[in-house]
Amino acid sequence: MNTEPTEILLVEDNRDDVELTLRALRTHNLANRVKVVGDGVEALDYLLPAGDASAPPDGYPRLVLLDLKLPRVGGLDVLRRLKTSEATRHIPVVVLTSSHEESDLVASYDLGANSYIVKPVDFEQFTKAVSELGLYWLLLNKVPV
Amino acid sequence: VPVGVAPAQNAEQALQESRQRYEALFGQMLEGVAYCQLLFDEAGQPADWIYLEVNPAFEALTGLRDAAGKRVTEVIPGVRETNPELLEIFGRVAQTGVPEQFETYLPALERWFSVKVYRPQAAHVAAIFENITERKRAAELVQTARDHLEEAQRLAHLGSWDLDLASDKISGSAEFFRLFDAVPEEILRYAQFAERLHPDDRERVDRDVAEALAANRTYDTEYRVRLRDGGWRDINALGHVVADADGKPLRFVGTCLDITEHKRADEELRVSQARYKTIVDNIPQKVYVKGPDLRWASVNGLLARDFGLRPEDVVGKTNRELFPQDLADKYSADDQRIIEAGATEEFDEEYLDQGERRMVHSIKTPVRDDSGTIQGVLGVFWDVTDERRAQDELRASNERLRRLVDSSVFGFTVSRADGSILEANDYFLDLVGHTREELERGEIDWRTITPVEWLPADERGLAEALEGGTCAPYEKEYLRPDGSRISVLLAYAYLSDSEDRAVFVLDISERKRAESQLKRALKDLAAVNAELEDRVKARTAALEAANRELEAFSYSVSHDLRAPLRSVDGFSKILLQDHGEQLDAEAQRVLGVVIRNVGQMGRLIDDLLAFSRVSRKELERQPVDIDRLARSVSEELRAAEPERAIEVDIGPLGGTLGDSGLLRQVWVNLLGNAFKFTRPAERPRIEIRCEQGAGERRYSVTDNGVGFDAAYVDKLFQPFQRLHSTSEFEGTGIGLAIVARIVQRHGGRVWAEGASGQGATFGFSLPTGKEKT
Repeated sequence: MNTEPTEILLVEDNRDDVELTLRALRTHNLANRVKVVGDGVEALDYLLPAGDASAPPDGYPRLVLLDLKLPRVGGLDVLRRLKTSEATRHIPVVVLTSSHEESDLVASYDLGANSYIVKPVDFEQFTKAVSELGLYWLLLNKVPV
Repeated sequence: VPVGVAPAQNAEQALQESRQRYEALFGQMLEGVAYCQLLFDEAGQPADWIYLEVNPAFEALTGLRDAAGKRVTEVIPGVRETNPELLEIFGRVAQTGVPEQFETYLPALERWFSVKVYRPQAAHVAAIFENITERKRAAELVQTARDHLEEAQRLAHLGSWDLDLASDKISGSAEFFRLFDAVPEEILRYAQFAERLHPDDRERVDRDVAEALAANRTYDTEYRVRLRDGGWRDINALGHVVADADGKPLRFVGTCLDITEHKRADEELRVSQARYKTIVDNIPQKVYVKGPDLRWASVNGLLARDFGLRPEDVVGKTNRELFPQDLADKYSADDQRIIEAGATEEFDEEYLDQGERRMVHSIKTPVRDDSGTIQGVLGVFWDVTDERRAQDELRASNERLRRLVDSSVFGFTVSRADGSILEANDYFLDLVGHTREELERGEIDWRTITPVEWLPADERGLAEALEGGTCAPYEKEYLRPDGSRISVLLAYAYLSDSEDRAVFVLDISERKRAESQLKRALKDLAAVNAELEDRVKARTAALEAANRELEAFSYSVSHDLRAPLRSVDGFSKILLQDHGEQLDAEAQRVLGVVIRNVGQMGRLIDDLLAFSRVSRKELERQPVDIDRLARSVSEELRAAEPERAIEVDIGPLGGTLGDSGLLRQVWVNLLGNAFKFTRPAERPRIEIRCEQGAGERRYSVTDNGVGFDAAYVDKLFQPFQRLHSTSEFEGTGIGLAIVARIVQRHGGRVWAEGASGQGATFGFSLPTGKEKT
């Protein structure tokens, strides 16, 4: 198993979902370096602290798990900003949402989402989905440095 | 003077006797004798003479008395001027002594004399003369006759010739040689004559001459003679043989006549006749001539064809032989009248053309000979049936137009731009409230009876008509004498080549009234419409709001309802996983129930959302290979349950027009059901078919699964209605409702047949042909 420290930014306002997600990631020891923010504003403040000028104090995450329905600034707006900023556009963004809506799916991919996952209601399935995507995007996927 | 020789008895007596004999002779001679002494002028030229002695015959022959002893210039004054040759000859004889003889005419005496002159002694002459006036006159007559003959021959271009057969010598008149363009020396013998003939004529002429001579027959032939300029002259030669008492031919005599002109005239006549015949044979009219007895004398080919005869076979026929009696008698009467009246007539008449009675236009004119006597009838005629028919039709058409104009359907006038109305029908007069008398007095001016505000419309109409001949109908009003107005629709056209316009006027007052009523009604209607539209707008807005709310609700359901469920499920399971050992069996069972129901609720929410999506999604119609869709879905389902041996029979389903994604969902749900409900079957079998109906195609999925209770068939397609328990067959009961909704949105319908334990058939139809929504 790769022990290299990882950085995941989880953008999720539902605390229960945060807990379930972290639990799922933990099963594969992927929860160590997860940063959680509760809404879009926080997410952008963290990733683009002064516009494109500087990197976050902890460095750029290697994966962003993004809920769509967020207070203040919505997930799609966050996605658009990340994918249009030179500094962040290569960071894989996985949309992790409850929405089955076709419109959300299409809009996400249009904006450059790397993956779109509907959170299953069933806990086992949810756990499986989150841990698999974490493994894939952090361990298997390569991005340009 | 002859002097007899007599024996001289003595000289005196002899002389005396001689003188007496001489005087007797002198006195009794028939010839006149004059003994003259010449007188010469200073130049030695003879100037006069003196009659020394004349005999009695002198007086008788000249009519001059007592000439002896007188000068000739005294006896015949002016003789030196009229007969200078007398002095000349007398002088010459007197000087030379050489006797001379001559004939001369003395105008003063009006007599011809033959004179012999001697010189008996120097400077004297003796003239012995005869009066030859009678002989001269006879010769002159002969000469004159000869001149006349020659002139006549010249004028008549008639030459005469004479061939002496024994000597082969030709003599001819001057005209004969002129006709041959030769001098007499060039034509002395027959061969020289023959040489001058046209080579083509020579043999024939030789033959004719030989025959005439052999048979002593009159010779009459024609030939061409070569002229010096290379031209040819046509000659008609006549001749006969002159024989002796024994019948032996001595001479061949005759005439030559120049017939070149005749020939040319004949040729011209022939050409002219041929030309005339060509014309007559080729003109499209039929031409004939009938004689004074009304028998046909000549027809052109066109006319002869009508009888099925050649033109020459028509000659001599009578009208009755050629035509039915009624026509023949009519023609004869016409012919007779024209011959008697001597006047040309022209008329239409009936004619029988190939058995069909036709109308022809006929011109008949009397034919006169040179003396003006009428010798028959010349006729020309041609078929005018179609023309007359067309004229009749035109007349009828004009009549119809007239009736139309006179009818009371519309007003009609002929008017001019200056306001005058030349003609108007009663309808128009009634319309504008004027009388025909006023029209005839010229008191109606269309500008006066037009309200001023309508004059610009007339101006426009006039300008348009001036441009294109006609104007598009326009509306205007007329002012009636009582001050009321009448609305009309009018249009006009310029009559060809004139400033007159034919104006058609339609009374539209009624229509106008109706229009204004209609306008009011329309206005009311518009108000009602506007109100309705407002209501519809309001309703639409409400509906749109409701739709938006529904969408927001769906979104909420999708997102917000699922999140707590996930938490319940997740934390329940964490409780089981992390704290299971602390829970007794009952607690674990209860927690299990919670988890199961959460799962069911999650599915219900998902299905509800799916159903909602099917209802809201916009239909994308395009050609869909529905056959391939069904097979692909079937394969997927089979792959999901590889352990099952299911027979799936898919008949050809063809293609259709619809939303590919939604139709795929139909197959997923129907085939999914079939797969699901055949699980208990021993040999599961699914049959998919398509059949063509009227305006639709019907698709069906038949399985041999558990079937359903037909009593509840109505509930099958309603959402969340299930005929089987969840424990028996999983599901929420939304599948068929989604199928129904999709099919309905495509304009089709759904149905189901089946019975418990006997399998089921689920069907749906899709409209074909014209796309319907």
